[in-house]
Amino acid sequence: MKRSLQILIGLFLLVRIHSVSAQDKPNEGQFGGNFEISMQTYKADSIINAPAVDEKMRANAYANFIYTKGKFSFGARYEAYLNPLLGYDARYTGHGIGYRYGTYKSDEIEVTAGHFYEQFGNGLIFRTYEDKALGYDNALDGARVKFKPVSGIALTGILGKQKLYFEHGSGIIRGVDTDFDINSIFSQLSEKALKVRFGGSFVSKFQDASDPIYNYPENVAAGAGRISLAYKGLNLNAEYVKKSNDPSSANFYDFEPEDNKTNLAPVFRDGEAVYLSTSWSTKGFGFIFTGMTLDNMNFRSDRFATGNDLNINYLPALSKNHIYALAALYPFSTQPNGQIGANTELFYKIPKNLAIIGGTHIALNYARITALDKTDILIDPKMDGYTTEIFKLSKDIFYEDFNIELYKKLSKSVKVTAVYMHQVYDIEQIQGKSGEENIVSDIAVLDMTFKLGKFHAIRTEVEALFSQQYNGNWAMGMLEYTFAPHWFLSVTDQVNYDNPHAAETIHYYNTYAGYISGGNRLQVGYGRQREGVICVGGVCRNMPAANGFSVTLSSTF
Amino acid sequence: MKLNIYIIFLFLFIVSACDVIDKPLKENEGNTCGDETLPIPIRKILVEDYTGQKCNNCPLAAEVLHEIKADYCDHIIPIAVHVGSFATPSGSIFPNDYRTIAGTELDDFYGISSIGLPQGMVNRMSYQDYTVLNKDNWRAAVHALFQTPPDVDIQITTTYDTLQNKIYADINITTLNAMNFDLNIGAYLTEDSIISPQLSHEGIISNYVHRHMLRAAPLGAFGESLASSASIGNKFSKSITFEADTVWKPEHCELIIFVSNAETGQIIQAESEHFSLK
Repeated sequence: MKRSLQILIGLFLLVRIHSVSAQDKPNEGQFGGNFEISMQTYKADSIINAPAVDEKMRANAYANFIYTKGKFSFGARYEAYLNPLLGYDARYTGHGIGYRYGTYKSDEIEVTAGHFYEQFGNGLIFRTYEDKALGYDNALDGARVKFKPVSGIALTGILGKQKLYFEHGSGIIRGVDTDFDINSIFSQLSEKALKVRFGGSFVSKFQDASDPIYNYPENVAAGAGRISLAYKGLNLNAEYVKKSNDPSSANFYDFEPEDNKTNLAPVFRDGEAVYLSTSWSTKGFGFIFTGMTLDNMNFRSDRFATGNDLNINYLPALSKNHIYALAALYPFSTQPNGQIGANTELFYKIPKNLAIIGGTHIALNYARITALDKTDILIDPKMDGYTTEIFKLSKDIFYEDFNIELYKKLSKSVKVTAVYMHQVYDIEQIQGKSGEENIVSDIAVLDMTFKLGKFHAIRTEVEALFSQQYNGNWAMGMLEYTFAPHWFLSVTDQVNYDNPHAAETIHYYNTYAGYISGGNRLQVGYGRQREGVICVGGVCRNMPAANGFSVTLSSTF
Repeated sequence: MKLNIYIIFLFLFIVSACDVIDKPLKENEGNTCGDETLPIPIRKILVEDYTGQKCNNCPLAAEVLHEIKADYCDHIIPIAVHVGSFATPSGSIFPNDYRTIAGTELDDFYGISSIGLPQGMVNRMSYQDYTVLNKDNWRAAVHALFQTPPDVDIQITTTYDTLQNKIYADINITTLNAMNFDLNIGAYLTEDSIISPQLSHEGIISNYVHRHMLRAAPLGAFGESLASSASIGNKFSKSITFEADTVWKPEHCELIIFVSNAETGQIIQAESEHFSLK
């Protein structure tokens, strides 16, 4: 107790001294950043179709440097992909300054020149962000102004071109966003329990058009309105987006589906989306409902961009982001050309005073996402392609997921999590695997942690996935040993058995060891990586099979 | 006041920032069909379709190339280059390997298959900031070029010796404009109408007809040096002899000759010729 008090006092004094010294030297700049390098060796492995690479080893690395002085801050990110890890786009190959900016920020105005990340509303109309795991970076390079004329009103203006690996996309993006916090604008409402906020956004892109067949619009615009309400534990957030005609490679449509011949052409219809999120929580109970319906909402700064390139907007993920490997084996990717779906989550903690089950956390989740019900237009001079009602579901299920998760601390040293999940996954639609039928799977997970004394812990995971489709059944076992606060070691084997596409049972074994100290982290691993997709927030990238050593080093300074 | 200015600016921006298209299809811009029998040489454009037998989107790109060829006729020299993991053989369904050393070199140099197939290039020139183009951009890139008078005239005489399995070509090149850069000459052999499985959106098409497939590049992926510069009316000759593969069907083969800018790789002019069989 005495020692804990000494540490607490020591920490307090450290923070205090630091803040006093910052106040003493208001004009002194501050420097910070972080660094990460991921290396992987590759050797050919015919069992999992993993290729070798000429370089034997590839690496992705980046370092952020941020300097702040008074109202100014400057930052740059050096990126090196020499050569990019398999699964990352080859256009990353090379190295250089991939991101740089300068910002001036006062109470009333903030101006940024260079690269920046920004989001309007829920992102349905505009969001630039980066995700290293996905190799995703659609930063805008240009100018941004944020202006707060009065308390509670925020206006944002943006202009620029999107980053495309080390280059730029050819389109120009312009946009404005307004945000009104009613409780701040009207001081008499500031203490009210009901909090009201609304906003509106407008984004437009410009790209030259010289196609000899189609009159592509050079300017495409989208507008959005949103509202959020909060009352005690209840929250509601809704947004509607409308986009003008935006024919592109991403919305090509088969205009004559009956003739057994593919007659693809871009559709010139408008796009629209509705997003609704509600949540309610009280002691021991929580509820979340998220719904989204959208039609023709691919919105990119280059009409011919494909994959994850040059997205202007972000369509939020509806389904739960599963953390267990087999539960995340078939992740859903948002379908911007049309989907309607909802996700519901219930959380409940059983009161501790109940015998046996007391103190158990229960999480129930159900998500269902289907195609929109579309009807082809037979005589279609406007090339709308089809008619649809944005709230009309079709019977074509893209994704369905029911899961229940139980968590209980059995004793001071034992914690257990159990999961059951039933999933339907349209792999043909989501991953483009032609001719494959929907994967119907049942998944079970048992995760146990045993704390052995003050510094040691062992965690085990046992998982199983049962399916008659695609790659058949999977099982997984994982053993992780942690020696706090610095060391961890993990051994995993994912086993694919009864796979109709494989001649034998395939083991995807992996072992990792790591060391953490302060802001530094080193992880070394060896094993097989299965082919598949990884998704973060409904955005996915393909992940090829690989076999070899991996090293990841990260540091914050 | 500041807020008012902002609102006025916002209003002007909103009302002026979108084009509503009532007529998606353009009026016919007239005849685009090139005729090589005319006495004046015409621009001939190499359109490369990078593809693979296990790429389900690739038949759509082949269809686009076919339509472009139908509309621009002799202006277009089509070629399909099988590259990357989509082109590797797989078990009994896709037993054939249509990749070539030259195709793989081009794929690596331009970073094509790692972006995802299908992709293409039109004379290896940049169009709207990109050299590697999505199939939906090929036609516009062709359209921007096809009326430009050629800088080079290429004449080819070929023989396919089916007994000796040897191919002979005599090439005569006349420059029609001055060019102050290094010139390369390249040669590709393509084979048409190869019947072999192909993945598509509808599943596997077992008797798919593969068109204009790159089979060999006797002068390498990027060609060989032709000249360090050229004036109007310069004439160059080159003879090529190389082994034919017994698998190729001579009556389906064609020789493509191209002249390129050695530094940028851009194709200046291309020509193709079916073989005289011996």
